[in-house]
Amino acid sequence: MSWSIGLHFGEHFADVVAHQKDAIEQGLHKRRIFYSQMSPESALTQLFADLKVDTISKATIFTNWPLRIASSNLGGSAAMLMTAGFENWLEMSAPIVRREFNSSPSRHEMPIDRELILGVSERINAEGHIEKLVDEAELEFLAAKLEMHKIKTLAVCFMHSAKNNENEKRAKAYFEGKGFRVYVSSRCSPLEHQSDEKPRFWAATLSAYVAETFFSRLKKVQDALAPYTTEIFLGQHPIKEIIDGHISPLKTTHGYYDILADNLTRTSGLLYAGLEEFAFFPGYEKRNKTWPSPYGPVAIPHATHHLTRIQPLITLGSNFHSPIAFDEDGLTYDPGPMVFGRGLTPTFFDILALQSDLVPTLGITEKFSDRGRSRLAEQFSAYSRTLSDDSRLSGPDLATLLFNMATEMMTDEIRNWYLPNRFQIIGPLANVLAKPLQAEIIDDEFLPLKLAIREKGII
Amino acid sequence: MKRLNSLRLAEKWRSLFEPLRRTAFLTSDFELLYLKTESLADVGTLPQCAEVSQKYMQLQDGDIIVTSDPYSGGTVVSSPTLVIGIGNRTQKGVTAAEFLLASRITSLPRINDAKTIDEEGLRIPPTPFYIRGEPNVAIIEALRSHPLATKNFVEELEAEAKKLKLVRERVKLEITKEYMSRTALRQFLSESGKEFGRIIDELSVGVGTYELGISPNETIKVRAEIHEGQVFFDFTGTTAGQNVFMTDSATMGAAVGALISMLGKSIPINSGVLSKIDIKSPKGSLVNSAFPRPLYVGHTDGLSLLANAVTLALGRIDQKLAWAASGWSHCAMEIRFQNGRHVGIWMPVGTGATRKAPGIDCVHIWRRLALPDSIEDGEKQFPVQVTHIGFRSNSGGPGKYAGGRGVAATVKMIEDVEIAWNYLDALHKPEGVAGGKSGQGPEIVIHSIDGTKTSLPTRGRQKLRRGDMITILSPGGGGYGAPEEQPTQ
Repeated sequence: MSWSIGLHFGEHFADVVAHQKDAIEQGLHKRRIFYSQMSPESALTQLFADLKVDTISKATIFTNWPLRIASSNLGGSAAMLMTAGFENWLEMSAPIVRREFNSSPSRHEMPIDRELILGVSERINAEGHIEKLVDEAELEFLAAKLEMHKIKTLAVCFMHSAKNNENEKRAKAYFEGKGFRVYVSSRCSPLEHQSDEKPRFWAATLSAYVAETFFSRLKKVQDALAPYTTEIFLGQHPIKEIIDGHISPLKTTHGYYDILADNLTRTSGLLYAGLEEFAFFPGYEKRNKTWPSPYGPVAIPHATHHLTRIQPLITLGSNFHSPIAFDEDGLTYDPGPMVFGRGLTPTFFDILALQSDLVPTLGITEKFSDRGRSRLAEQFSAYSRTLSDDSRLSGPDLATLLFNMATEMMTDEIRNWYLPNRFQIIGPLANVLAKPLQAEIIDDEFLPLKLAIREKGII
Repeated sequence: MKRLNSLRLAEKWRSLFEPLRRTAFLTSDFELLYLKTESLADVGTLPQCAEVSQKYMQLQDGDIIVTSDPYSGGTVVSSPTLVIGIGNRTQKGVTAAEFLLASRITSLPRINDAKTIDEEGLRIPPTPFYIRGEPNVAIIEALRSHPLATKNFVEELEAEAKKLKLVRERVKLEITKEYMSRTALRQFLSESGKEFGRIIDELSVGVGTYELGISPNETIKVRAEIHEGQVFFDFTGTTAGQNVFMTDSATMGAAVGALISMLGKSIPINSGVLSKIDIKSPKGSLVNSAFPRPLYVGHTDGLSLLANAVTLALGRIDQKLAWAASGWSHCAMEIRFQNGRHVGIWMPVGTGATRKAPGIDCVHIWRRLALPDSIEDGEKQFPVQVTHIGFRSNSGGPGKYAGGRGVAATVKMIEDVEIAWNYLDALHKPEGVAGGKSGQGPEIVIHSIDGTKTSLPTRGRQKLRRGDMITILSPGGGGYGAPEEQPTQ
């Protein structure tokens, strides 16, 4: 019996939907994997053994790993070839991290070492005419330099290449001939990004930067699936085309959200309440041309969505107004929220864990530890003593107050993107957030994956 | 609970005013509750615009005032401000504003060698733009046909007014609630004042002075004093302006902005915080100039210079705050083409190093303006070609921690053009501290097609021929500590 598999890999969790062909609803299996306890590939192998899967007709994977790798500085060594004279351009144009004035403004760390950003004497002018053709002798010198640095992947970012990409094509052909994996800016970006070079350049640069790490993770998943199928897709693209460098990894990275937006938000707003991310999709605005990365806009067309200020793992700390407040940054699930037993800093997830509506959530609530719960209770009790002035406040009261404040913040923020009062909510944390946000719950958190492997009889 | 209530209010305002980039929210009796800025000048001038508008116009709910007059609280004439009245209580048919919301638009300024404010562009004193929610057609038509109005000026104002009206609707839903009562707001401001006082109390107590010469007869003098949770800035002794002029509200903004920048924490600017800061800027001095002095250079490069003077004075009181001077000149230049169009150029600078870290290369340290900066787009729109843009080598002052580098950029003209420029240099380069060396000052150089090279003065205008090139070198920041103490890599 053949199966269709849909997989959604996050940074720490994976959702799996497995559908046995020719079976009806009972042939559908859902599972959530937490990587801290088992690697994705081992979990898949075990799942297939449990379900007695022998052949898979098609496996469809969604993951935002490329974005996570890019924004967490986890990419590999790569180089960038830039029109000579503009080697510093991307770095100097990158946004400042903190908006407020301060004595140490900073930028997100550049993904490419300065010494690996190399100028090439070439120039296309604004009309698209070649003023200086790329010189193979110069490329030969640069290739030798890159080989000396053991660089295998590079981005090529030439001015006005969206108007005329002849020089980029020549550089790509030359370096591919030498065995390099090459991402050129003119192929990383659709035509509508012609008005500003930076999103196009960043798309090529980040593709080169994330490639090594991304492919290494992807290869493990591919290996786990290999005994069952060769029909493996990353979104709509065959996985081989991506690993071979024909398609930018960034182009695949919003596939899961694209499904959500395409199928669910034509006339309404939708909040995705995921374990790792909260994202709001305003139905009236379908597509965005750029992703607002820490480096500035990157040319990655995707379903328009906004990340809310309150995120699942946003930490609680102090700020000017209060000794307990929502920070600007968050944790990951390693070490994770306090309630899982290893984290030492309370997060919004911990506040959710104290709400009765969270229980039970597939693959989550069983991870809560007694030690974590007790430390969390002590922490909130300590906070409540700090905050009590003229009134007495218990730890659980404080958690409820913060929960209400957070949901009020989310509501206010969503109103900036979407005016109607009612919107929909989906995802593993939808249960606990639907009521305070007055959102209509879509009570099937696996629906996007089911839509992705759309088979007769299961939707 | 008081502090949780403060947090709730702060988060509420952050969400409510998220659609506005440069905004101030005040009670109608001028208690500043929330401020979001993009320039030092905004700190003092955004609330001032709201205050002046209310004083002269007595706003009702839905009224919108437009002003771009720096002498009525504005910053530069190219950045108009809209102020909307918000109120819920109607008495005898009048719904007086209980709150004021100001929002400022960022538009490209004209760069010229103006001798008066009216030569810098369209100066609009506080004028009714919408009355009780309805457009003031006569004024809108007058603005639309004004010869100094830029293309799409009225459309930009109307788009901002639309945003303000949407935000007003949401604010109206909130202001009847208990947590927005006058008592709650007073408590919020009181808590802010107390917390800011605690932060100031952690600093060393004392007096620091600094004198910064702009030209032989033009000097900024500042005396900073930290005492009992209060900060006092006294600009007595500052000379009258000859080339550089600022309004007192812009000066106040620069001093407050510079102080808060040094404290390294996200500190909101509201009346509670401002109650702990006192500023004396003598009338007639360059930090409190009178109409009709031109203000563009003073309210851009001049405020950066003044902020440096403030930070250098504060660094003399408390070593923890020591921060070398950052570049202050953005080398503002305008290129005018044969078809009547023009393009403006503003360069980022290098920042000064601190006790803990080197300066940062190439940033607009005191500005967060969202201005376009695409090379391809610039070359498509205008007959110019950028031949190089990058960090300016050796422009950061050496030190244990080096100052940040400025920018070096070269632009080639594809047709005959006229350029106008106006920037601020000073008698000294951006100064290092604690033994650190100074950064490089600004410079603009013309490379003519005939091979001659000319360094330009700080202001002027000139014709250039096709093939001529301009190289702009923006300043670096000063270093911190002796260069020989530089940590080994």
